[in-house]
Amino acid sequence: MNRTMVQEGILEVIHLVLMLPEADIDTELIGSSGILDSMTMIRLLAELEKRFDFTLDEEDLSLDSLRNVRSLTDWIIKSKEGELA
Amino acid sequence: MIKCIVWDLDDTIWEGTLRENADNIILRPGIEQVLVELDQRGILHSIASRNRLDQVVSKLEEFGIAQYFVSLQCHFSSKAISLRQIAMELNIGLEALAFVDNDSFERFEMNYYYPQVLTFDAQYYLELPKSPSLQVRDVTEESANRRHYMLARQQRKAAERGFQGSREQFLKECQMVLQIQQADPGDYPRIVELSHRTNQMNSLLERIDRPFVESFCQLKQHMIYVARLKDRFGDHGLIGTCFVALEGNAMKIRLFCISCRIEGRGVAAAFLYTVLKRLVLKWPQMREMHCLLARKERNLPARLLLEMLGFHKLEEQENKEYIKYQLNLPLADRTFDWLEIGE
Repeated sequence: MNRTMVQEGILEVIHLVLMLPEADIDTELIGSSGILDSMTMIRLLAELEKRFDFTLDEEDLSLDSLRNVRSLTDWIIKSKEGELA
Repeated sequence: MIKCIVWDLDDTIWEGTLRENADNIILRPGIEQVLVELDQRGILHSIASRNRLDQVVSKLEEFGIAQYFVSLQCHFSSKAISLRQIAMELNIGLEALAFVDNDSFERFEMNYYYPQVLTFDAQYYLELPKSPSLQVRDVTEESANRRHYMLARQQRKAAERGFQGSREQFLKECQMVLQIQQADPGDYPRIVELSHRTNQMNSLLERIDRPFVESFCQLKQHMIYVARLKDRFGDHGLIGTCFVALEGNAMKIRLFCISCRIEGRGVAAAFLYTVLKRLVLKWPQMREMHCLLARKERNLPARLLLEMLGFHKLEEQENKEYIKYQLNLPLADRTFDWLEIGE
């Protein structure tokens, strides 16, 4: 799975599940201007797990991974590689 | 803790089969009292039935009991699918659901897929309010109004789906008002209830009782804060609590519990941040804040919430059951301009 596909998949999940039609790859998801709260993050992660067929590694999960679509893409690619290794 | 009972309809809530003989259906004697009694305890009712939704709703309205049910599932798929859908819509775990059906096959199937779901044979429906798993300690204002809160939540979700603007703009239009105060004795039963009902946003996954709450308040420099939420869809009652103790130059969050009913609105962060901000204003000599967190997957949202507020992981306790978080002061300035925060 290439990076663009992962990014598009994440945006689709964000648009549909979180009802954020205006989000793009640089939209801040958390932090002072981000609107994602921690409960919503869990919903987002659960949907991403289903979408990309991987299991969330809680140890490996940091807030930095969740900042925007770019960082989420890196984290998902890394998690998928970790599962395959 | 059972938070919702999912009922079958034919030969369970009523006698007869709706699809075959709609005109001769009769409500089972005493069922309405059972529904009312459990509803007043804050236990929600839902339906999983192999019938058409419009026909079910009109029959329930005819009997005058439609108002007691939320998230109805009326279709011809497996009832296990219905229960999963109900848990998702109400944002609760499957272990918080009970299932009542007259058909032993249906009950067997439910437990085959979901052994954590408590099942009841419908013939004993009059005994349900006596079931040990359906007892609650105190009936709080929140438990008596739970169904209304849930309906308001569903109205908000529907409005959210139809809204075209930005997320922040939508939240502003909800006109949320978060009232944060120190707890008074009238709040204690609800504080206890919150500790029992919350998992994902319960920092220690701790269940406390009223004597604990009372003794905590009596200790020097120990405080309990509570948050209430209102919006244009209604009053959501007391939705969060936070226990704080001051020790030396450190403030310690001993426990926080926040209802998952209000997820998705940035309310939890606004609540904890405001509590911390008020404490800092009152005790400017404080240098750090600590919070101990149970290390369980179920409260990952609590962990992320702390990290969002700027806490960092300090150390794991030896047995690895708890993680210690710390935040060095001064507290960074944050605004939550999609809601109004009051006292």
